[in-house]
Amino acid sequence: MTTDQHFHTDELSRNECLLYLFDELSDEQQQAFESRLENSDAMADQLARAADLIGNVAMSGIDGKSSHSNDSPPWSKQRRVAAVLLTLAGSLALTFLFNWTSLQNPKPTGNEQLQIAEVWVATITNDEVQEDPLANLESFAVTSVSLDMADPIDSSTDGLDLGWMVEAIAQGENNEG
Amino acid sequence: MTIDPGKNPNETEAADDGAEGREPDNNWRDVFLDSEPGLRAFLGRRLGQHADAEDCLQVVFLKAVEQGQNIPVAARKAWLFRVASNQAARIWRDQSTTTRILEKHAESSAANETPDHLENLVAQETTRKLRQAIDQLPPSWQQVVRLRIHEGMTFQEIANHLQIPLGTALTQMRRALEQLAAKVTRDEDS
Repeated sequence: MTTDQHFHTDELSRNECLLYLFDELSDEQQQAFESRLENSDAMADQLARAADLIGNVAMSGIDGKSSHSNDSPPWSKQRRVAAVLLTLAGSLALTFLFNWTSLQNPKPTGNEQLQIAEVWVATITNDEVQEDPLANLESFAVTSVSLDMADPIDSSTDGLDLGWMVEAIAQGENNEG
Repeated sequence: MTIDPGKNPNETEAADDGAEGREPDNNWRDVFLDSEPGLRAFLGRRLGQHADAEDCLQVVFLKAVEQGQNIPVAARKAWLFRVASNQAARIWRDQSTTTRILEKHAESSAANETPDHLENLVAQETTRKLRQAIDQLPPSWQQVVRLRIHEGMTFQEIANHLQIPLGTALTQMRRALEQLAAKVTRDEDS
């Protein structure tokens, strides 16, 4: 027997061992295999080796969720790659859109902020002092007994004087240059 | 000693060793009945003595009842042969010439037995190495191993499912097992 023939026979024999252990031989093939097994140490060795490995793999608990194993056809991999690329493209588009929107509606500059603060403070100081009945606390204190029960409130309009805020903002502007 | 695998193992005399109260599931019984002639042939070849082969067969069946519940159905026959092979090796060791001489002095059996916890450690280590080795197999080979052992598909079904020739499915399985064996052996040697 040539080396090639021997290799071929050996390969067939090993495949037969697998088929036997996985119970995929016909009844006749199985009986023939067992008859040969009774008389061949080499076959017994081969069967023992295959059984040992299959048993070990079975007990190793691989459930097919290995990082490499995948039962799906190859085109689904391409789909996954496309999905990743689409996600990346979407992220880039969103980032670009956000930046573009920011350019179209720039944030107010420091001077503008200061002006807005001045207007807001002036509005609050004028309107709320006039409208708020607590602003006339002193007259209320004289005429109303119920106010004795109220929380002590500074009678001055300091709490409503927000000029300090304007000054602080202006000072901040100066410090920042 | 002979056994009747169709009988509840709790009714056998060796059941008192630890299999008490356990029932083999029907699949195990079927697998054992189907494998029994092959196991007998295998053990007869391995051990030579008919009585030893029968004792070994008894142990194999009890181990299947005690420990085999987690073995995937498709791999149960192989697992029985694996247990049979290990048990035969143990009997062979225990009955070596040296042991026989020592047995005459009634000292040897305990000294020659491998403690169970050591065997468990070795098995755990082998399992760990196998998992690593499986991850290193080509994906198509892993797929065949998984479909055959864990999904219980026949090689023909795998071939149809993956649209490959039957011979390729068989060869991939065999090469996967050989590569795993080589990897585990190499790790043990190093």
